[in-house]
Amino acid sequence: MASDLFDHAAERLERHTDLDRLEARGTLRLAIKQAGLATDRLTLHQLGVVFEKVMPAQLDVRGTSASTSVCRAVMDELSRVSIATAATNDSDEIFQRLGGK
Amino acid sequence: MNYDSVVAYFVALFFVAVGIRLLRVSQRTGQSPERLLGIYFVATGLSYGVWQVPVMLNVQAAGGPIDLFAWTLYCVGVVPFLMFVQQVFRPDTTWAKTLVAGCTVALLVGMMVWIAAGQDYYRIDNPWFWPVWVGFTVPCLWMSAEAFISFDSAKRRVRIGLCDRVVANRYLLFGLFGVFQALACATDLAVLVDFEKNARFSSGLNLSTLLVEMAGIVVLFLAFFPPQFYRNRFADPVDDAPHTSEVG
Repeated sequence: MASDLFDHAAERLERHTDLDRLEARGTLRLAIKQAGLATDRLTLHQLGVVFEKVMPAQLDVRGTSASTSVCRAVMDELSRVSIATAATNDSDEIFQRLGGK
Repeated sequence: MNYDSVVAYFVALFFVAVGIRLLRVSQRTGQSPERLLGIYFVATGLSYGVWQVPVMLNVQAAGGPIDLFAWTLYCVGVVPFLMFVQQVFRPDTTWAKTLVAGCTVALLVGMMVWIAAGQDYYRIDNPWFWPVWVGFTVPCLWMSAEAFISFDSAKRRVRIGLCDRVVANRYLLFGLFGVFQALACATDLAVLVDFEKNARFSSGLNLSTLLVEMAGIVVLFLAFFPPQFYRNRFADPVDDAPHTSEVG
């Protein structure tokens, strides 16, 4: 489920950077939170946007070189792996529907 | 017809209109959150309307049973509202499910005791008054808190294109609605305390309740029937189309 996605993403982040396991998980958690998302209800698309728009700055702060390439590599690997994610009926979808659309 | 009743009927009709709109959405989507919220608004709107019947028809003698029926409708309507808040914001959380169960028990048991006891149940010195009052006030505060929290995180999602600006604004409006509903519960309590002390209704407190109810109507109107000028605030300045999310 979404925690599988988080675990896989953290593992690949650790592999592509100098971050250890705890640092990789912590950095990923921070980036997800900064994006206004929750780790337990994450989708592949949302994670992709996090790695595209939020993670590079997080990695730069931690001294990781070529952060954009790293993020792209992580998402390329994740998109090739079949990871089950939670079926979404999250609050954004629900509040979108409440408007009648 | 007195002014209070006119406003109450306006509020009642608006709530029912919102409820019917949501129930029609749920018919199309087959999803429960909009159905639950729709039931809440219809039940609450009907209860507001029923409360005015003795006043409108000048049949105070029948006020007791009609009043009790309106209260039952109102309290029963709060249950789907509780379920909506839990399903939307805390679907996997044990404490949220416990809160739903606790408020439901407080409301339904309190109402059953009221029904068994007969008239004069809506009094501060009635020990079953408080479980019922807490049972319908806590959901408003809960809704408000969850909606404001969601608004805060939605703003961040909007910045990276993961949430529609309209949706983020709807969270804010729901948060405000929860606040106004909780304030209405509080001012209603103040009216009751004042009445029991002075044997008359304070016009100032009555006006406060009406103003708070009307404020709630305004935010609901913006949430469900936004006028064009309001919708234009959320249009994408680049392509003139609302920035949509692609969740999932």
